[in-house]
Amino acid sequence: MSLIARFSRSPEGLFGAAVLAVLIAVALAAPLLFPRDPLSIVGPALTAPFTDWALPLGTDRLGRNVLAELAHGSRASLLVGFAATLAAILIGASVGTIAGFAGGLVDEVLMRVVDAFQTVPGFLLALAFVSVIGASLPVVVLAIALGAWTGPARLARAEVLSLRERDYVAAARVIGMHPAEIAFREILPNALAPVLALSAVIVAGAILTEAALSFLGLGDPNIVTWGSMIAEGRAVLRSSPFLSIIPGLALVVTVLGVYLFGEGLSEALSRRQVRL
Amino acid sequence: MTALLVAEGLGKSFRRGGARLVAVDGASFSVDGGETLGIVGPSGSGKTTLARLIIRLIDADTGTLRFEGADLLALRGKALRATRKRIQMVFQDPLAALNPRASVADVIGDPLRIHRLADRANRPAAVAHLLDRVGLPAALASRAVHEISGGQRQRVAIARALATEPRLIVLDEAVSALDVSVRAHILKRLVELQVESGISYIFVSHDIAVVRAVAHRIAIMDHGRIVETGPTAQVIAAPQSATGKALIAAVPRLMPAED
Repeated sequence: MSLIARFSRSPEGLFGAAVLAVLIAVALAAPLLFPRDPLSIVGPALTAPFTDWALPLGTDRLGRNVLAELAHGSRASLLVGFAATLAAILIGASVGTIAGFAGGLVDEVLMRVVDAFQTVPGFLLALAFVSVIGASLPVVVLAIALGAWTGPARLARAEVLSLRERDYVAAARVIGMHPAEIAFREILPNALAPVLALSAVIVAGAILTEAALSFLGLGDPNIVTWGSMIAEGRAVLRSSPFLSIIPGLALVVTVLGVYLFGEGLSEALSRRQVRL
Repeated sequence: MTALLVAEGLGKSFRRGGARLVAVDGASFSVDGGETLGIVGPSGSGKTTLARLIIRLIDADTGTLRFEGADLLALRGKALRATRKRIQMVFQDPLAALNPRASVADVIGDPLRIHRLADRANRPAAVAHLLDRVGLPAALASRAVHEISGGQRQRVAIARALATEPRLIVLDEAVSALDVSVRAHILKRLVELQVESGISYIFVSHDIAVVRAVAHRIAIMDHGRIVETGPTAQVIAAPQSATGKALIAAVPRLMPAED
């Protein structure tokens, strides 16, 4: 049975995939649906949602279209979420593979570095990194990846440790393959499945961290993000709570969707491993 | 004729818990060009450790190993990888010994690529030729390793070992995991390849009946030591060591025919 067929048998995975598909569609279509700059003023300030059908979710305290902000904000959330996860997995899987494959002193040193990063809370690390270097999208991505790569590194190392004793790795040595090629071409691809299953949790965490950074005013100031929308709404929380609630709900649905997708994916992957 | 491979006093021990486990204890033997040396012994006698010492998958604690006159144990890094071209190995479990993600063309093409024996354009033809040498159709090249049968996998593993035209192939229980008819075919093909190209084999097995069919000489191992060495017919007919006697007595089909 193929991975897709196994995945489609898990209802939570399908639900997560549907949520993700809608989100990605919205993020891609945002410039078409709302061609105007989402930060431009389009109507009277603090219009309540569902009162004016030209502005279905109302306006914020500067009179900006909340729906347009929400749609454009999904771009930042998803972009940062996926880019930070990609960076975290790339760094983590490489470090973990080198540590597990080389063993000895290299392993000790690399894993102590991992320990050092793990003792500092990921959010604090991102906060410090962004405040020192300055807020821009690539810096935010890197800052989040910095706190998230240790999980993939540990997992990849554990997988590589068990895989490197396999006969096909010995066979690769026997034919004279270079150790670097053995590590990255023979072992790493086979160690990647459980690491990829971890990626959904990292995406969800990265989206939340990005929102939290934006909430604190450490996001990229030139783009709309859900975190900055919540922070904006905070000033008028008593009179217009929807300004914080709407992006908050979007955040909850996104993280839930990503998480359920990951659950379905890791379940589908583990079923395959049982079968082997 | 000078010997292709000469081992003297080869030894390896492992630490397990606090105790020292001697896996191979002072093994000495030689293999000539075009010859098959069978290494037989009960399980746990150190056969596989010895095979892995010869192929330099693990490092020996003591002893010397000379291959084509050069000190094999002194080789490191790049020089060792280059020498691997001339000594190859076939493993027991063909499923475990092939990367599950690879295609047949990758598996057989890798040694050709690594030792620059065929460039990208010539590789498909070279792979097809190697498949033909082990009696497999060229069309198999595009298949994934996990799609083909166990017997086909072991032939692919043998084709990979043959790719660099080695002087010596170490076969560690290479036919033990296969069913009887496939086993007979592969043994026959191995002998034919030896006649064609003068290759040497070290054939490691617990099954003396299989070794008898292919080996010119037999070395019997027990508790990490080689307890007896001699021409196959002589060892089978009149084993000198207790282990040899026990191994041969354990093959009931064999004895009436030999008597």
